[in-house]
Amino acid sequence: MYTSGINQMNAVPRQRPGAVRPVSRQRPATTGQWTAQRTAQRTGRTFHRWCAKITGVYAGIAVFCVVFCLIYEQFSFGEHSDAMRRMFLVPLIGGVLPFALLAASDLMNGLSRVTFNLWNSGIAVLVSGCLITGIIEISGRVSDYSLYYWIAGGVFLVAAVVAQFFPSNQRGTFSR
Amino acid sequence: MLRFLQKPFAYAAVFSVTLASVNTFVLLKTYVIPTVQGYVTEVSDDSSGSSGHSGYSGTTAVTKGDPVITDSSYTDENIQITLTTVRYADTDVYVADITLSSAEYLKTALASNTFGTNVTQKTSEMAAAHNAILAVNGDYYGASRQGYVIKNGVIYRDTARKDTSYDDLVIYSDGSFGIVNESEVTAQQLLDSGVVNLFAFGPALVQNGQIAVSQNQEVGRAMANNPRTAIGIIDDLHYIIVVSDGRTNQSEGLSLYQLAQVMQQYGCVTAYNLDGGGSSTMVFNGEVVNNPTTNGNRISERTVSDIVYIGY
Repeated sequence: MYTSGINQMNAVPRQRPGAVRPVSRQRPATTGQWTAQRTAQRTGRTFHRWCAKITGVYAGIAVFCVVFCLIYEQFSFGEHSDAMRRMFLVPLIGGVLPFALLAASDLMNGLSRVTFNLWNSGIAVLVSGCLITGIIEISGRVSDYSLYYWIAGGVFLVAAVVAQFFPSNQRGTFSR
Repeated sequence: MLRFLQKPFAYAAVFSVTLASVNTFVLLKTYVIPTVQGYVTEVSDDSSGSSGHSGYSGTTAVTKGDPVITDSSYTDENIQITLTTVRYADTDVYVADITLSSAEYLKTALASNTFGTNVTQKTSEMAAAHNAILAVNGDYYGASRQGYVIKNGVIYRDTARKDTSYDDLVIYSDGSFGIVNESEVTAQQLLDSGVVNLFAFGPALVQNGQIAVSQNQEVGRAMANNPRTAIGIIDDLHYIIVVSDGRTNQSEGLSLYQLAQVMQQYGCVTAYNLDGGGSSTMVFNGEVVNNPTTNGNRISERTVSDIVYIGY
């Protein structure tokens, strides 16, 4: 479940006349912060379980990167690229590790959608950088654009971390 | 902005399209979109030592006489070429033994007479355009934005390549060969010392008559046998140009060490590895004599940036 802001949180939910909202799905009486933990409870999922799910997704991406690299090298006449071989490390270190940590600990009990989007974007840019650099290196050429990928990816990741502590962003916590 | 960033699917869609577009642009810019940086103009006698875009002065009046041409040889009063095919390490190897009366018949040419990246042409097309008797692919300078490019006495690029592990082959105006490292000398210094052609690929296969590569050494990170192209000098104005097949059922391809062995066996004092793989192509009397492989095992000629050729 995803809530985008305090206004939305305080809005009166649409209900059919006479319908009784189940107790487990009722909005808390308090108008305090709508935490991810509470949202997660409302939807029957915990933030930790959600993190575990994201960990699995990133693990799948890491495995895909390894498989892709192996297949690509099968058709590259013995050429290989360190950038492509290390591509799996990006989702592993940037995805599996942090989300597994969040799933297994109480370091955080919620994550803003902005942070999640930006973090995913950073990982995607870095994986793309590895992929494009690898393709270019294997073809025997020199990539002039790799540095831009590393910079852009880094900017996304830093922005994701900063966004998590951005006050107005705290109101829009989410888990799904 | 914050609202947009919070929208899961809209943001993901926009971001994915943007990233895919950037990746596509990078690949197109690297492989497809030509970037012209200069043109080769006709020769002038005072071009030696200049860094403009004019050709090397080497077109003094020559007499060819009546050439004797067979399927495997070309002979006139200035150029003698004998082409043989040998079998080495389960690979067909095409060896052109060349003797010239003057170094000016050993030339290079750029695709479409244009200097730039992704400006390519088939070796056979360039050979035909320059009336080459024998031509092979060069160093594919267009695959990189670094590395000196000196062709026919003109500096086209003076940016040293960052990877200094490989040396360059230089050909002086008297036809002699030398091996240099770009970290130790500038392109202008090379031109001033009489260099008319430079190949920035490598590595050097034979130096001072000795094999200069190890048994495990490969181009870049390649660890497999491949089609190869190499050029070597045996004696004054006596050269060997070798192209090997590879990546086919008929020919396995050569390792760098095996290629160096071939060059040494033919008595090369200095030999140098040029661009190989799908680029390896030898054209003799207008015909492609080897089996160039493009996009894997398909026998097809690949377009390249430049050629080395023998001709008037």
